[in-house]
Amino acid sequence: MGFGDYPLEYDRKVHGPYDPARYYGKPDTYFSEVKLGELGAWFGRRNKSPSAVVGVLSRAYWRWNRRFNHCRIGNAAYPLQVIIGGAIIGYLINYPRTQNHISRKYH
Amino acid sequence: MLARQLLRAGNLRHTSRVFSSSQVTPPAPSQSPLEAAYKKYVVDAKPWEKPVIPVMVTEGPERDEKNFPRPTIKLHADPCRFLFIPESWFDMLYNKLGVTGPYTLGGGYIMYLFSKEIWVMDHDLPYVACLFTVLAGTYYKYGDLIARYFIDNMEREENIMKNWKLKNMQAHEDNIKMFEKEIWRSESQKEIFVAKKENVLMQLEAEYRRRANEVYQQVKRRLDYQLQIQTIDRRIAHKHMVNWIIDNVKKSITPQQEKESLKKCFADLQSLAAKA
Repeated sequence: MGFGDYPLEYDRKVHGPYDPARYYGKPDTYFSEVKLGELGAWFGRRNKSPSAVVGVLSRAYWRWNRRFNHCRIGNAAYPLQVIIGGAIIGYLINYPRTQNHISRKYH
Repeated sequence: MLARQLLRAGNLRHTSRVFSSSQVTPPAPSQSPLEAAYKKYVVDAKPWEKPVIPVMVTEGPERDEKNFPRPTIKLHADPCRFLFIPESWFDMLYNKLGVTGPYTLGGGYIMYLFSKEIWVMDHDLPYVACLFTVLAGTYYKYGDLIARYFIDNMEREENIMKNWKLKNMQAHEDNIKMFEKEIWRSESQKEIFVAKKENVLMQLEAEYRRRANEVYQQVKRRLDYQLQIQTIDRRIAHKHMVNWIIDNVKKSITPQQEKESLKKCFADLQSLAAKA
């Protein structure tokens, strides 16, 4: 599996046209349904290779686009999420400098 | 090829021919490369082997439509609270936290960030308030305009695409009608072919008759020549024989005989005169 290839689990005959928002592997428990005690085991089962991480981000991006952007009639959510998310990322990038302005040593 | 066969037939058959259109058959239709490709890739190909864009693919028996349905385009974007926080997050927390729980959680989390100075209250913080003010002001003052603009754009583009599709479909339908008409027109080619073939056969017949007539004339000329030669020969021989006989007769007559014959003649004349 190189760059630009479909995931190994994807089978055109079974899955039909490729959907970039869908995970074609064996589904595990959803993250929102995992009990706190099983969280470690759940993370242990995850594939932590770079390509898997990129795949997760890509699927999340496509799902987000499909929910808020690739619809017939949109609302203000998509541009607002882009702006506010960008503001948060900018804040995190600048955080090392922002830390110099902390006024109290102990809280 | 056909013409050659006809010529050969015309040369071999010397009896009068029968012109029947039943023996005239147009050439059998052969499969063109395009038809062969269409058969190979569209008619005989398995559904998942067809080289078409995915949307047009018809699935095979292995296709799992239940667990892997085709993605669809939603009509509306997901509903949000505060314009940008997805409603689904509140739904997810409803069982645990109730209606106001998520607000408490979010507000409490922001309070925690401020309290522990993770979110630092520096001189940039008012910009956050300004950002939200500007965004909210834009939304309430120009939101409808912006939405109208995008919806109009969408409808315009959609109409363009729809019209393009309709135009192309109409063009293809016109093409199909035209080609069907052409096919209907080309039916007459069969009759024209039969007529042309009969025409050729008639030409061949005419040529055959002309040649037969020529042969007849030539033979007749030669026979006439022979006849004339024989006639002349016979005439000359006749003449010669007559001359020869007369000459011989003349030669055979002696002077004594002449005198006797003269005397006889005189005697005959005298007897005739006595009778008269």
